[in-house]
Amino acid sequence: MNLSDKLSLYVMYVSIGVFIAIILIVEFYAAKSESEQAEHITRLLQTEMVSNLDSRFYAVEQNVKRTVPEARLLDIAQIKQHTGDILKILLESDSIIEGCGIAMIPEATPTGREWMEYLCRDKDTVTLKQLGETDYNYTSCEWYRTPLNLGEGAWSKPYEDKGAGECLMVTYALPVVNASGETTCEVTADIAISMLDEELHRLIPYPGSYSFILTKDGEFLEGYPQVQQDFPSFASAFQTGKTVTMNGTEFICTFTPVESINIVIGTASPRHSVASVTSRIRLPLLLILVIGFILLIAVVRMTLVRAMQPLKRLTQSAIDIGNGNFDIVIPETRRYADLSRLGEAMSFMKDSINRYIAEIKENTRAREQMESQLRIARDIQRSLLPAPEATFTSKRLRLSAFQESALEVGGDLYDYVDTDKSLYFIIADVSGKGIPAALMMSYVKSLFHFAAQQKLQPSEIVARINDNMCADNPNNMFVTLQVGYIDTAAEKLVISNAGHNPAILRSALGCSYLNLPAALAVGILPNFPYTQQEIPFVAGDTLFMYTDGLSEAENPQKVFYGQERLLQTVTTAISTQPSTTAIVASIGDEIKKYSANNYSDDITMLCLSAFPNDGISMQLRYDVAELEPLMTAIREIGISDKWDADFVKKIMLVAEEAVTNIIHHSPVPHPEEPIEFDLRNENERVVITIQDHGAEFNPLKHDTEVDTTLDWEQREIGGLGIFLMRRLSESIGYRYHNHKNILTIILKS
Amino acid sequence: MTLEVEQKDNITLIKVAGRLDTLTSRDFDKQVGELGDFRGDLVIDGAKMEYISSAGLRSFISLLKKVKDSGHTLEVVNLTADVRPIFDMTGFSSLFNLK
Repeated sequence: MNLSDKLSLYVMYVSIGVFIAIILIVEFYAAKSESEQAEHITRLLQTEMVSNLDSRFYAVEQNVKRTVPEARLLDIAQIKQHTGDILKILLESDSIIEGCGIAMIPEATPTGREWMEYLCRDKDTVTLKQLGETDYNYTSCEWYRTPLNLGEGAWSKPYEDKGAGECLMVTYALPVVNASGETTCEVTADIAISMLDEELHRLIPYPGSYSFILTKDGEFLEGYPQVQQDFPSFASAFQTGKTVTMNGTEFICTFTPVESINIVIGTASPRHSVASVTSRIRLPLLLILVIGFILLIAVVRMTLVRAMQPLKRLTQSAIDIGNGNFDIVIPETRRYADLSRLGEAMSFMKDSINRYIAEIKENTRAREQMESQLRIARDIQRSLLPAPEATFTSKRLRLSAFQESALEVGGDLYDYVDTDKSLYFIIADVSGKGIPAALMMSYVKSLFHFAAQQKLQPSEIVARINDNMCADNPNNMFVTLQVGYIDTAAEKLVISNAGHNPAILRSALGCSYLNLPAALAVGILPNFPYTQQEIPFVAGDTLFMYTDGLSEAENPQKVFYGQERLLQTVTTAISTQPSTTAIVASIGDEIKKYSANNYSDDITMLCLSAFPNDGISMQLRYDVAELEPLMTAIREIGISDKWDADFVKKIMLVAEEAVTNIIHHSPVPHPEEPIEFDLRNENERVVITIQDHGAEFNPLKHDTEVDTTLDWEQREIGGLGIFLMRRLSESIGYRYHNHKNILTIILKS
Repeated sequence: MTLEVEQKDNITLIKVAGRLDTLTSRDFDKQVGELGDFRGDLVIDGAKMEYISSAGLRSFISLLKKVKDSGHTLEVVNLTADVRPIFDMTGFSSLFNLK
């Protein structure tokens, strides 16, 4: 869910809550205050009515009392004569008086019997009645007894009169005491309850209100409007509480007692009339709230969407940056401070990334420059080393070297110098690795080279290197090395050791480490007495030298390759591999396999082998200049094997034509692999085998017989070489095998 | 391979010494080419030639064609026993009027 949706939802929830609270408050408090107000108003009206009634009843009391002096004067006989007049005056004194009378106290009469005169209104006239004894036994009436007992005037409770007023009424009775202090009679005035209708009618505070009169005991007496059946329910409210629900309408009831005449005035008003304001404002209020609510949600939603707009733009910018577009301009957001800060932070991040990229580029460039210089250094160091394969035909020596550096440049060295009688060689391992070792290595190489050319003895060469290094070696570097030479004519190897790993010699006696006297590595002690040993070295012997990168190669379990295992490997390689190149290659493979191609030190091997003088094995580049050493080799073998000069020339011619043909006419030469030239002297025959890695090319296929009788104008320039080869050899054969063109030529001496 | 050139009247005498093979034949062609147009006959003296291969033969035949084209003759004389068999074998002896 989006943030804006969520916020909108929250605002909506809170709004609905507030909305409901307002409705409840209005409904509850307003209604409550309205009922209280209604009660107050009703009570005021009632109080006014009561005071009105009180004053009228008081007036009645006073009128009754005004008759007393006259009534007091009367004795029984007189009363009978004058009551009519007295009563008439009393009745006319107040229209509210329904009827009035004088009731004699039976004990005060001579006869001792009840006697009462009663005057009451009968429509527009008045009627005088004689009451007492059997027809109206007033002495038992409450209106008569209470004032007599009290000895003063008193109002009766409302009662239904039978025999006199014939209606529901209250009676004021005042006992009259004569001059002798005896109570002689009671003067009474009746007020019909129905006379109060007019007052009740005025007591209608709200539409639908009811007004009514109860006895003090809560008995219903009179009500307005005249819906008699409703009032008993209202009367019950006087006892139980203030509200009555009738026919689904709630009525609020208010009561005020009229103490003088022992009645209670009640008013019942329907709640809906009372709470008319609340009902009136309910709908508008609801409307206002709903509209307000909708407006609020709309405004909030709009604001949020607007607020989210910059956030969306910032999001897009972040995606762009993520996609690698670091040149974009981060949109500015001034409207909201927090979003503006986010935008600034993103700008800062973008700028930082750009800065870092620039730094990385600069670093990379510097590193590449460094690496390129290291590559150049590596190339230079490589070029300092002589060819890894060489054949010295006249000395019947073949040499192969192998070197791989752990780093770009290394401190291992092999070198050889061919002098007229001997082949000088060196193998050396400079302490340390990398550029310092490489620099020292080139120094040692030049020292060796110069000394070897002077044909010094190996021990002298070692001593000279030692002296030069000791003289100026502030970094205390040292070099282990072996220097020597092989003189095949004298069939000897002279070697001097300076703390280097023991070399391996394979001779007719077997394969073993050369046991040379221990000597200090060079560069440590000036004037150290280095010695040299002279060892027989004849055709078929092989000398193998190496650096500690071999013997100390580690497998993934950190176990050294070791001297013993190395001796075995070298022994096997020398006895099974056909050439020195194959020997070092197979040992190199073995070491790589052992160390899982992860060797930490430079690896260097140098292998020298003296071959018997029974043939030529040469590797020729695709260059006719290679013919020169080849011709020299053929001449030399011819001399040593005491061949006939013509035969030597024949061999030379065939070899030249065959090799030249490959160099000049191979359709797809393969210059990476040399042309292998092999010559064997077998039983008065010479077998020449020439192999090359070019595309299949049979020189004999296109061999058209040269017509030697043609005139010069018809003679073809080509084809002469093949023609000569055929004519001079005993047999010539071609085959293509193992991706090699193999040409075999046999010549007979 | 070395060349020695002697001019006698209208005849040019070229003395070839050493090996005339793949390596030296180009040198031979170049040096002979430098002699310019022939104003007379040409004689090659092979008394000091030690060796010839097909490349050398090709140089000879090119030279022969060039000389014949200019209306002169090319004669090879004094071939050694080292070289003569090659000439015989290839029919060059008759081509160059060897005696």
